[in-house]
Amino acid sequence: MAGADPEELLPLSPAVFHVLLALADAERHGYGIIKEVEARTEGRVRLGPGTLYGSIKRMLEQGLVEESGERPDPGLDDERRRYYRLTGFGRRVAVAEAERLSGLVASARAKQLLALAGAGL
Amino acid sequence: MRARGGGGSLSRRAYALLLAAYPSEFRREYGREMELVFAARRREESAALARLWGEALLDLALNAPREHLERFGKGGGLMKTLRTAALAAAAYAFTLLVVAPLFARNVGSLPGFLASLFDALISTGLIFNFVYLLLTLTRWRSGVGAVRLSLVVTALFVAGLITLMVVSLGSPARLNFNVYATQVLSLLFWFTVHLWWVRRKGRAVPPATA
Repeated sequence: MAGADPEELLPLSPAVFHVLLALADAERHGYGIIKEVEARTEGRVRLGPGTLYGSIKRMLEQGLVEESGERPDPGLDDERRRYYRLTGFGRRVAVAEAERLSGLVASARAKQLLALAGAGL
Repeated sequence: MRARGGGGSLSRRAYALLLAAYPSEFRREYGREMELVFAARRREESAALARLWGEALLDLALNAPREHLERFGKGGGLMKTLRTAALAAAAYAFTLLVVAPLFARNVGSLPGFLASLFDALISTGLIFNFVYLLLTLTRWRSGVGAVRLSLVVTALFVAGLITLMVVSLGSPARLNFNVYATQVLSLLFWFTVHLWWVRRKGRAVPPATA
């Protein structure tokens, strides 16, 4: 996947992008990803187990994430849980999707949609 | 505390049972972790049990069919399978509604052997292609193996039909030699067409694994 073009996977589904964002700064297990997404979106996005592991399965196949053999703190952690981390390709895909979304936001701003939304119109 | 823990355990067991809705490979790979996630949520959100179950059931209803569809589509592609089935249905409809009535109307003006040959090509073609489609769409057989098995099944079917006709006509009534000859020719024709097709496809598409 190292030579693959990140653009080919865009646009990402919201669930996949949220998982990539959750793993951007740390390795996490499934429930850790769910809690991070929930905290970051202030409870607006709650990933179900089926959505999460379905996304992880496809992301593993596409080489966006990989399983991590390490446990941050084996003494405190449940050994049955698997940890996941971003691959280099996964990070490039996340960056490409963020840039795509940023471009969309810039377009909305140019059309003054954000200003209108801010004014409550 | 004990009552609450027991309730959590019951919920988790119920959720584990619901995971049977997923394909077995998916369940083997992620079922245990999905249970852990559900149990962790149950512990943290015991006050909102209805919401937790509502979300779990919605999550299941949305994702279990998707995993099944994805599994079904792997290898050949679900859309490809549906497209092949739709094309076959259209070809069958055209043969039965246009070709067969046209042949029936003009059969009298054709020489005996040619009439028999057209008849055999249509009837054997319908059976041969049906068997071949059944074998390949269900992925029971593929390639040359599917063509060979289609030939055997169709030949047995046609032989059975001819035997039935001979028996029903009664001795000493016999079928015209043309019927036997054209059925054999027709079987060979469909066998050759399919064999040529799968070999051509085999050359065009390189094998997936080295």
